[in-house]
Amino acid sequence: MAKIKKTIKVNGENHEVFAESREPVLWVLRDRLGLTGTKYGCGEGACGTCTVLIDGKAERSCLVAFEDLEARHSIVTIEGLAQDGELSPVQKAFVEHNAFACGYCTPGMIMQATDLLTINPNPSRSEVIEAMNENLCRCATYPSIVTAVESVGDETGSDSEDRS
Amino acid sequence: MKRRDFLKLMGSSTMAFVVTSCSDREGASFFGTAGQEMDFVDFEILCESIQPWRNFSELILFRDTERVEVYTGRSEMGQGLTTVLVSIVSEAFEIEPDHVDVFLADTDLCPDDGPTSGSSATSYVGWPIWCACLEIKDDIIAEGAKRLGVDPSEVRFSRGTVSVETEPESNVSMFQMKRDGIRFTNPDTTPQKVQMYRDPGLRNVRALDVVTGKLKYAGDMMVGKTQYGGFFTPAEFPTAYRFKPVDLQATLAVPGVITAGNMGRHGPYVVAENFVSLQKGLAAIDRKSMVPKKKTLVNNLSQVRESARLTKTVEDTGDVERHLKNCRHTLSETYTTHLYNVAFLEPQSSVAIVSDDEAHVWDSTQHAHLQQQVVARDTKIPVERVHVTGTNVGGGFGGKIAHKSGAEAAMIAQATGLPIKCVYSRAQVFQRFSRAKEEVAVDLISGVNDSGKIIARSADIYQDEGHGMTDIYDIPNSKIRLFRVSQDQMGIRHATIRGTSYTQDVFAMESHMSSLAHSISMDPLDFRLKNVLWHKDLLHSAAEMIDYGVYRPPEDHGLGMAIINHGDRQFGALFVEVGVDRMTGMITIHRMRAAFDIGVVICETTATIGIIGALIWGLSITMKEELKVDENQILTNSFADYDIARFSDLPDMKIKYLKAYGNGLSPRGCGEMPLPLVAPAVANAVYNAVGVRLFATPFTPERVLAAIRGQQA
Repeated sequence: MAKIKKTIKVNGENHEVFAESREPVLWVLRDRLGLTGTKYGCGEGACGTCTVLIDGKAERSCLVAFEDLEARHSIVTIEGLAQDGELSPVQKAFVEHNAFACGYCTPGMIMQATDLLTINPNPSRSEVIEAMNENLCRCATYPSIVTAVESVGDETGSDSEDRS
Repeated sequence: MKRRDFLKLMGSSTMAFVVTSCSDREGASFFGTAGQEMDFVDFEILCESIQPWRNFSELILFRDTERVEVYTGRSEMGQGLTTVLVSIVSEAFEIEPDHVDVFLADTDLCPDDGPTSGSSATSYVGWPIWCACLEIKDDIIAEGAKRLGVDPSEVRFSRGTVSVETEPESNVSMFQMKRDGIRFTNPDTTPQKVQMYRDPGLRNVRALDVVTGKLKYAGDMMVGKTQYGGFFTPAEFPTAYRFKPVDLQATLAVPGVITAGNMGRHGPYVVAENFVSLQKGLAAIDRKSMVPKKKTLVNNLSQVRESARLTKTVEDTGDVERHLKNCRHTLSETYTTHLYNVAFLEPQSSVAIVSDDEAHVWDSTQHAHLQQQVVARDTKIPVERVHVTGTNVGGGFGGKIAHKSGAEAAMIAQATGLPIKCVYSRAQVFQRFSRAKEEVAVDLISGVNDSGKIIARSADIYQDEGHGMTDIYDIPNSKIRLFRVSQDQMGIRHATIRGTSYTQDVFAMESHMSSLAHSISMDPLDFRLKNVLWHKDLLHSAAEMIDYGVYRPPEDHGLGMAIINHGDRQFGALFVEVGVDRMTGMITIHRMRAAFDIGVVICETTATIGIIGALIWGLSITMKEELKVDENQILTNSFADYDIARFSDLPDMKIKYLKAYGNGLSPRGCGEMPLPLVAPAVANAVYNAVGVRLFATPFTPERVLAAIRGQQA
């Protein structure tokens, strides 16, 4: 596994990184950029704990190799969601609804929910569950997470879909 | 890094202590039990460690910065201990919550308050702090009145300030008194009147750090040029082999591997510059390093039954044999439960620096002081020169009390002179030390009279402790015996996992209760009400929540119930509605309705998160989780193999808090007690829905379908 050097854009800033070509972006973020808000959970994309946004889309950073990133890609981690000290709507909702316990899965949950609400600003409960279903929370705070994500939809959404 | 610097790194900036006396420590029996469960790695160390767990003397320091700070050796692992302590102190002194700082799980700074387990932190740490705060407030009021030249009855205390009732402008703050050198302690007294606590309704005080990714866990620590280190972890049961030194050239050839070595009985280890290289280096280790031991291991319940010996008679009252013989209605049943893993999302993680015969360890642990002793033992560094800081724990559930990652990081750091970060891979979480909640069998025989009163009950429990079998029902003739196989004979060793053995024993007993009721054609709720010692209000309340007796479930739906007395401290009743697909065997839990008595609810926000989480945990291990093994090894090593509860499994859930029994003045914890209710409540609902009794967990569709087909045959 050869090391390569390239510039990647993370949370709006360009970083020149020298890392193993096949090193998962998860470890590039954590060990080389110090962005430890993105967590290791399983290393095979099965738990969602390492979820980040790549070009606005939720991706498992443990499954994306460093060499597959290009300069045009824009990565947003949990550290980059708040703007000018203002929490994002999803972050605010997680605080408001106490949507966590140990907090280890929370960054991944928030990134996944952010992706969902970008695509679907007013998701129904079943749509929230479907979109978030591959993110695991061993403390099982699922009900309050669903409530939190729904509440963002309530505030920002324009549709009045069936919420059955 | 100095400890103070670390504290700043973790987001705190000031120092002081609130630690107090507790003359009535119910914990002795609890920790005795926990000790029995620790026999694999560190039982002796645990016992030694908890001896100083104590009637500690009062000490509160108020900072010049007008802040109050709390210290305890317990850990924050999502149960909300930080929020609980902030709630208590801010409520006691009527100060803003953000003027309270909490410091946890640091062997240099905090007293050893025992392991963070058994839903006990709020009751055994939080409540004594509340009592001490009241006591100290009395001192503050007395000192304030003295300074103001009035009788204590003429002053009022508000927002940390003592003022004359009739002249509010004549006042003195407790922080000013502290600056003047007054000590607010009176170790000769204990609070005679405990002021009723009022939940200030705080949100989780860690919320901002959690949602912004700033909350630090052990694996997030960056101390100098930290390298990744870890030990070779075969899938085989560790009781089946020992290690011998092997050539490590193949490992050393892996790009990114810095060094590797053989460490005696601990086996080969690897140090690498990144996590991926570490895993590849470990995978390259020659399996010839493992030398099989010549012993036969016990790996399933049949073998347990053959090898187990009677280890304890928990209860032996009356004459069980005679009354069972004379009862008109007797029922004999056996219930069994399966293997499962703790499966927290944060793997065991630690960082260690060892130099000059001194070790600093940052550890994701439920018991920092125990880890201090484990590190001291494994590195042979004097315990007073081992410093362990417990970080935020990303899920513990019992699995991070006697874990080894801290000692492993320290041993590798000692051997290499490098700062070492030890983060288990997901496979290691499942396989390292091969610990899990073992399979359990419970043989029950009960006798009931014509009016539905249980006259006698015999319970033989294999490979468990028997919690949850006693003190629920009024049974005049009862015998409970425990049969165990030595842990040295077991392939899978016992792990303390959320719910402990209540999970297995309550499943058996509460399923058996409904079976007994049906055997005499009695409603299971009426049958319980007839025999229960406590909990009647809880049963009535939970029954009302689900419209029991009024609501008629549709076809193939059913209602089931269960109750629990968790150590005479926590009580709960759960009713569920399930639907059963007769074609596939799939069970769907539609509704959960539960009532709990947990004493004073210190912080409803965090308590409710814990209770809901425990119910879903119960759902998860009942319906989904199962650790697979063969005769030699654990086969489950990833979340792809081991499915836990997820969003799509959520039922409609509602809970209620009652004060039905016992001392309503104090909190008694809640994080474990709801979990064991789920399996029996679901089993009883399945019986109600389709008329088949599930005698074994987990309730997989295959097992349910087999039961339905067996009934049809």
